[in-house]
Amino acid sequence: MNILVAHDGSEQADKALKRAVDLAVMAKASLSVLSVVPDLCMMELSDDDCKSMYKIMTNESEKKLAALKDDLSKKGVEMDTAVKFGNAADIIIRACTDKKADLVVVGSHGRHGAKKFLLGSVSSKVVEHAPCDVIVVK
Amino acid sequence: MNEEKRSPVTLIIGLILLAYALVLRSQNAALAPEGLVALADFLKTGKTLGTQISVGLWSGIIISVVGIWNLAMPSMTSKFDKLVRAPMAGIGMIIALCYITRFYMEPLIKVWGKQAQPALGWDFSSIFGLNYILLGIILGIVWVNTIGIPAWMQAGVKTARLAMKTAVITLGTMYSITELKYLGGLSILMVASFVMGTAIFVLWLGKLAQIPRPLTGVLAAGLGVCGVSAAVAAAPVVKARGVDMAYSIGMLLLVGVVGLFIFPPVAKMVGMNELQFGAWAGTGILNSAQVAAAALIFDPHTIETLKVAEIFNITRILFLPFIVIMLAIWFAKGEEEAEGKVNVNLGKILVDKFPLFVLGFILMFAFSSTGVFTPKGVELHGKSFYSFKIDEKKEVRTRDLKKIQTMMESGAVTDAKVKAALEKLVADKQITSAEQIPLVLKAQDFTPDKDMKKVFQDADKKVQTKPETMEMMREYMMWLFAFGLIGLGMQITWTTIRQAGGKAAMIGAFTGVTKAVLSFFVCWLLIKGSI
Repeated sequence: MNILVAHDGSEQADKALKRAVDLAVMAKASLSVLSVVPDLCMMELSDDDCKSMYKIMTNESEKKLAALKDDLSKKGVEMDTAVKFGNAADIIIRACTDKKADLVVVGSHGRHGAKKFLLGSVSSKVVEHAPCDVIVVK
Repeated sequence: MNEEKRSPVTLIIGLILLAYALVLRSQNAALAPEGLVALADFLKTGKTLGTQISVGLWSGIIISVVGIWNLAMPSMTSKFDKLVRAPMAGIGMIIALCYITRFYMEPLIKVWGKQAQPALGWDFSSIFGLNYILLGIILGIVWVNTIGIPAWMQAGVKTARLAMKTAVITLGTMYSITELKYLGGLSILMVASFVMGTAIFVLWLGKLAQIPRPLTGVLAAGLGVCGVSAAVAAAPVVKARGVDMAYSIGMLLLVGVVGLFIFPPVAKMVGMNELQFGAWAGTGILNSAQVAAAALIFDPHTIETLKVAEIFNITRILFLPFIVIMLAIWFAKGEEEAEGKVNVNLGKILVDKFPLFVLGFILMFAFSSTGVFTPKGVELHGKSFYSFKIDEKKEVRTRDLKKIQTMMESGAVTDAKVKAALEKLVADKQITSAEQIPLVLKAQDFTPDKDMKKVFQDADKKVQTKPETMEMMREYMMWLFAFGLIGLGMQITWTTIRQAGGKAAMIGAFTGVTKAVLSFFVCWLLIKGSI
């Protein structure tokens, strides 16, 4: 079994990650952690600028997940990480197919969930369009 | 663009552009029923039909050819494919949007504004400055935040940066030496004080509000120099985290966009001239592309404001390496206290951060000042091109010459130099040298009579000329700007702006507003005269 969990650095995403880790340990499944970062590369920035920005953000989230990876490998759970830039819902849905995931775990709302009208816009889109089963962690 | 699927979208857009141009052309020759030409009459865009047809034909042919190619060989792997074939559909779409905003939306709103004027008492199209540049940006913003940019358009939207840079490089051909000297001096003075002032102010504010040093550093660069690009350039030397960058980028974009919409109407209200507004936009607006946008929103039909604003913008960009170095030293000092030395390679920063397009701009200026783009005998002085070759058409009317003579005989002209210039004008019947121009124009100061002033202005206008190559380059540059600015709008996304948050947003808003207001008063009150 292959479990995909999406992470955007928010508290809710930490919850989702924790739940996904529990599930993976329980089911002896492999875990893919997908860090989703909004793509802030824009016209004002040259390619080099964008690359250096991506590098800083990628290094950061890989560093953050390194400890978890060690911990999981001791428990016999394989884990791979990836950092993707762009629209969160689109990226998660695409990764679902690419990684041949059986299950996707997402938080109920992301970094900007405080704003009511945005609540859960990513998770609901994933629920609606993802080709696999989805768990929304509340 | 999807790399495997065959997509006809490029071809379709190319054919639409081509068909539009062909329909316009046939109607121009009165072959087809009224339709578009009647519409052009109503919108008063008849004069632009020539441009519309030629741009439509060329872009239509090129995009259609690439479209057929994309259909026949959908695999895109080489660099050429990625640079030329993949973006073509998006490029075509943005060109179509250029047509819609420039030849339909702006004229339509102008007509509506005139029609509504009796009822409203004011012309909303001119008060809000609803020209095609502004409409293009708004259209881009609305598009990206509602339906979003489809995958096949994304590569095309990214070419907007290149279009803007090319446009600025082209602008380099349109300065005269005197203009560049004057603007260069003024901009170094203004930019140096504002860049340094803002950066130091933000560093101090950051300490006061106890904001983490990396975030303070990124904000100082972004708010001080040229917005988002400066913030990202400074990020590595102050060891910024992703979240620092996200906060700053969101905030800098927001402050820039607000400025972009507020600066032009404010300037119109207080009656700023081209020089004042150009200087204000170039100092107070944060992001480079937004500076050009504001200048063109203020004045889309001549390029004077743009010329001033771009010099300020370029001067500002040239300060970036120095600010990065300053921040590196500032950051290293703080780190030393905490955990040993941080190495900063000053030479590498200088080389890496030097913007190549500025070099292009300077080269184009140097190139054009040798006179390659202008026919023989045509020279650029101030805003206009002049040809002093003796020609009957350039002669001042005999009765006007008599008026000048009478005025001189009355002893009204007290300046000896002006007097000599006018005497020469009467003798030659036309202006014959560049030195004579300012003197003849200065003669206006010696008469209160409006008709008499007009005589001198006419004498100047008669020797002005519009070289074809330069007109063509201007037109193509305006297309590049219009194209680039629709792309600019398409990158102002709510997702990005939403990144702004925390104390960064407060410092950003406070500093951004202070800088805008201060530079407004400096430009409005201290900069006098025009270029």
